[in-house]
Amino acid sequence: MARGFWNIMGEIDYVGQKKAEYLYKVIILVSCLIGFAISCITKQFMYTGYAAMISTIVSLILVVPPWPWYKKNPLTWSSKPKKS
Amino acid sequence: MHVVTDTLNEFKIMDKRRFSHQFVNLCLVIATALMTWKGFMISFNTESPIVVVLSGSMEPAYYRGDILFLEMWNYPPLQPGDVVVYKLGDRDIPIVHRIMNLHEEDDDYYILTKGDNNKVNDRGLYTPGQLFIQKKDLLGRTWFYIPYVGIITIWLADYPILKYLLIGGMVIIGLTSREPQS
Amino acid sequence: MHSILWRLNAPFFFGVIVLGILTGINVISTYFVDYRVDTSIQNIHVNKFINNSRFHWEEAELSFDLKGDFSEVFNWNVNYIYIYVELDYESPMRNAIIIWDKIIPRFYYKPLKIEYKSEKGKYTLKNKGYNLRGKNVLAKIKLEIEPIAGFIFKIEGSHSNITFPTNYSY
Repeated sequence: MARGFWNIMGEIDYVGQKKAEYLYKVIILVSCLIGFAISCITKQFMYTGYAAMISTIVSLILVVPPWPWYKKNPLTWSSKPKKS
Repeated sequence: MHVVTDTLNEFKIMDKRRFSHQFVNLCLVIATALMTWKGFMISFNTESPIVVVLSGSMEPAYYRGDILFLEMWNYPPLQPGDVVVYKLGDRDIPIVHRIMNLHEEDDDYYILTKGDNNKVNDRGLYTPGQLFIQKKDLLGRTWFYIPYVGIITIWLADYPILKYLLIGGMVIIGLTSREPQS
Repeated sequence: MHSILWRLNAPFFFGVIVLGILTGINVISTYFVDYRVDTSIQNIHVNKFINNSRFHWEEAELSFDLKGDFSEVFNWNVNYIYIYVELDYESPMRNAIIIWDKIIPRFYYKPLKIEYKSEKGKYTLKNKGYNLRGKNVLAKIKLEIEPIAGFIFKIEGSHSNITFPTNYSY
């Protein structure tokens, strides 16, 4: 895992990756479907467009930077073998 | 950090065989894209089957950055009210306007156009002395419209550095990406 | 998902694809709609009919009564409609001229019905040549529907005839 400044280029651990992938898909799909339903009802297409754009930006903010909650399960490397 | 070091590593281990493999892959992708474009050109019978709207003279219909699909089939015949894209003589810029007047004479059309947002017709834009445009000046008639997506093309044209970045990035990705090994 | 570039482009393209699919549903759902308009054009008069010898063409200005109800046309995929009056005549080949047009955008709630009496043509009719006298001319109301995304449709409304006077009105 990178340290210091390069942490911003962030790797996250595997459990965090699964969480991130699940999170963005759910956010975008659900907001777009709700936006689509609202546009069906009000007969105006712009709600779908806004839902797509806003949910994409929100999910980018939540998924791209390596937030601490993605790093809760770091890999446990085995310890250095003792020199005999 | 791994992104940058991985990419640099790919370039370090590149030998002739790997390079030619990646290069041929890249050529295949370019050739497929070109085939698709030419296929569009033939099926829609026009030189540029997809254009991006460059001027604001058709607002509130077509803003800058909208994408239009064009066709030049003979049926249905051209009528006033159709939105057409034409190029004047030697100028490079395609103009998207609506046909106002149409006279058919000797198997050729004499057309007068006007943009929806302009108060006067396009005679001021035609070459001096030219009163109508003809079928040979037309690129096509619009039949499909997608808003906003063409803004990328306008950004690429206005800021050439984006073009270099994009082409450079795509070449790097083309040369370093590997298919998943079984 | 382990590199930042992957995390950057995956949500972005997922959003684009979802929006594209929903727009595609939008387009397809309005492709098969059967548009009807209730329009009528009547009482067409030729106000001015001269022979412009400087430009070698005849000019005419017309006025007419126009009525239309366009509330059925606006579905959720219509951005705005372009209404125009077109004059067709043969001389001997096909000629067609737009003499009046109007744009009704979708949020312009009030005049989905328009009614004009003795509306003057916006554009003068200019004919190459001198053969409009006594000609029978067909005036049609047509509509072009510009979508939010998708196919562009043309609909034809009602039409009416007019015969041009046999003499110029100097």
